[in-house]
Amino acid sequence: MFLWALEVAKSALFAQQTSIYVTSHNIANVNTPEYSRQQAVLSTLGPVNLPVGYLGRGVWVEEVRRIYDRFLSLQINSQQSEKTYWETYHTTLSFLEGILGSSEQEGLGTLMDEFFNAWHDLSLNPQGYAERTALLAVSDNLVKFINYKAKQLSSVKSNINQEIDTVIQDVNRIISEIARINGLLRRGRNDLFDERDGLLRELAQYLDFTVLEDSQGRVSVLVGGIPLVEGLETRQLEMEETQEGVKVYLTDSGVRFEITSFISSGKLGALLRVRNQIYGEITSNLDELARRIIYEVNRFHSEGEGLSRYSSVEGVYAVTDPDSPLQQAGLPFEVPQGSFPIRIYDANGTLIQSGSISVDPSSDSLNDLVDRINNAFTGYLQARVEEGKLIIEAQGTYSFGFARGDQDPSGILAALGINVFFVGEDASTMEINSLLRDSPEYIAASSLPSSPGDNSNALQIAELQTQQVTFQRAGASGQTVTTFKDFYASIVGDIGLKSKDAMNRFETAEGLLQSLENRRQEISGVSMDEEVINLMRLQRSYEAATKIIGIVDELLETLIALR
Amino acid sequence: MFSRITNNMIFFNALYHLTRNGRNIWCLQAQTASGKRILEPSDDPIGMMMAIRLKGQLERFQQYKRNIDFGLRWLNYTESVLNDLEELINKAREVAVTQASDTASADTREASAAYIRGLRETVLQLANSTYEGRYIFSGLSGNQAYQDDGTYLGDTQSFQIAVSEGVYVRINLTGPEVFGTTTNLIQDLDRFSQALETNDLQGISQALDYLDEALNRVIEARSRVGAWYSQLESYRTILNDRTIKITESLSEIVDADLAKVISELSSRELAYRATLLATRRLFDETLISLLR
Repeated sequence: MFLWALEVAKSALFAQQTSIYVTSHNIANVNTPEYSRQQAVLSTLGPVNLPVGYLGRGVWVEEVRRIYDRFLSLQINSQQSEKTYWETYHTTLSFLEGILGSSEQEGLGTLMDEFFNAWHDLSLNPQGYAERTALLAVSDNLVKFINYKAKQLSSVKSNINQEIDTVIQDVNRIISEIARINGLLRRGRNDLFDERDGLLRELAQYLDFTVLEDSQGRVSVLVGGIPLVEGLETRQLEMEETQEGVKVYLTDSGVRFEITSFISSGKLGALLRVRNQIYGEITSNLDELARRIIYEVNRFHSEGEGLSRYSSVEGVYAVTDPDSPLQQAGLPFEVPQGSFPIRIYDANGTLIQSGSISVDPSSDSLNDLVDRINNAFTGYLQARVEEGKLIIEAQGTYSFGFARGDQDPSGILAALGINVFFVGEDASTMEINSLLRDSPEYIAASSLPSSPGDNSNALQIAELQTQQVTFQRAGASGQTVTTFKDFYASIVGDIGLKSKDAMNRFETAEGLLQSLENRRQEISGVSMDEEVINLMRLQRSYEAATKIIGIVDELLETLIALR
Repeated sequence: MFSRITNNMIFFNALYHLTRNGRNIWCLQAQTASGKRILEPSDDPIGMMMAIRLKGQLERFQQYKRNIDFGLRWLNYTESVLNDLEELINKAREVAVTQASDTASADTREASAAYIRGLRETVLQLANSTYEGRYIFSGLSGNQAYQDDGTYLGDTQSFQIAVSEGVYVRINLTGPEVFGTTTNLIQDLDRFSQALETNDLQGISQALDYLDEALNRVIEARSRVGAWYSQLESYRTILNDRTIKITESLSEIVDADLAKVISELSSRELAYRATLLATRRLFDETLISLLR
């Protein structure tokens, strides 16, 4: 009987020792991220049947349990994806926001004001050379700024691409790690489970996924129903840049699945959304703004006259085929139906002939236009097509211009790029017509023939800043009719709204994650106080068990001394 | 509420609240330092849009004011030219009156013919007046207004300046409007001096008629200039008023209300300090320190 008692006491010593070991492990890992506290589960050793009845055999450590809530952990993962999504989305938008003019002093808005004001100044002194040079300088600022913004945007694009690449490499590392741990997992390997959960949490920062766990605790990680990790096998992610944006693929034994649309959360989700949607919207809106400024200014400018008349002029926009109707000839701007004026002057600058050339873009080709000009102005003008561009030359000492008089401009010359102020077709290609840069006297402040003192064209261009213009708007529903300034304001406002919304959503997600994290720490976290109390308790039971051994020893001694 | 409070909860919670408070303080400090409420579009997207619009409007008003100032200077100059012209015509008229009378003789007439020829040259000079290098009476032609022989080289088109959205005010008078259409003052004075030279009494009394006409024309021109001038001035007053109003609303949107920001800042700072203090307490008082 005494020997039994010794055995029981021994089991108690072992059990308390194990428990102290587990407690010290908990204390040691109080600051380890992802650590779930462990608990030695003590239970009685099955009794033996003796004549006196059933007697217990002591205590043993049934298992070292990891205190953990699986459901909570899944929730934390998806909330983590949500938080990093909005965080990344907001940071990336802030970049774009900064580019489009955060500070109101040097923004595009101010440059547009200065541009139109320079036309006003020219209208006060239409023959002034200084006003023309000033206008060119201000226009140059505007154009350079728009070009620079386009360049900045495209550098943001390549930064995002690089970021996506880095993320994908890290995702691939994480999924390999998960697969490796899957191979090592056994029941009871608590710390490995923690490590695995940590990896899943890390993965959740990048994308959203579904986790399936088998009875052994091995996980499969699925994105859009396609497994990234399945037991020991992994499928690596790959990215590819296309015209429409960046696409993400999974490759499995040579077969590629596109999973871009399934990645809707996490850092990768945010980067893909900004890269594939927002970036495109912003660049095409900026391009549209540049396009409209180019076309609207050119529309008036091309059908006005400067201080000098042309002896020869070349269109800046080329057609792909001079024999196909202008509508389908590949010009960057649509050729409207209507007619444009041509005025012929003699060597003294006296107007000797006026005429207009009508154009139907659905049937007339550039070559038709050439014939029409040559027929109408035989002896004065010679038109031809060279490398897809219209060229008009005066014969002899004649010169010509395109003053439209009191009429509205047709926009035909603007579409062909003749006598234009701006060249180019979007934010990155926009430029000032180099002819005007070299010879500012060609700036067409006048819309009346042989009236260099007329300022009506300059006035009309200056007033463009308050005119309603039709824009093709990306990201919203089709067309918007508004002023240049308001369109610009709406681009800036739009990204500001998105960025503000992202910040709000981030704060909400952060708060939610924090409360889930608290919940997790409540269950799985280590409490120093608790561990210390446990330690005290274990110390006492260990002391009691040693006491039993001592007493049994005394009893045995008494027994042995009997002889 | 939580049933267990663990070390990490205390730590993470403190960190979370300190970060949030810190973020708020950072924003408020940026507002105080810059004096601006909107530093980036996302601070207030709608406000930013309005600010861009209002700033554009202000810029436009500045430009319209610049246009108007130019117009006023131009009209001032025109007015002074017309004033000189009126004096000259009056002088010529006096000559016509005295030389048409019986007291005048062929000799006095011939002598005053030279005087009239002198006046004619001055009138030609006035007719070719330039303002900032531009002939003010030649319409939009960009040419000199009158040839030496008195032929008009300009056109009859009007020069307008923009004074408000879609509002244009004419500021030029063309040669015919000031000097006459069928025959002009220069040619009239030629005829007058000829009549004086040839002692043509009928011609001299005729000159009195067309000099009266010329005087009326100039007086009418001066009243037109005066009307344009006051039109420009009234637009300037309107623009000044609107500039003040828009500057006010722009400031309301863009500028930070410093009193408000600073009081908010100090209350945030208080919260921040309280969080720090509470956190320190929690970490200080543990079971271990009591058992020691």
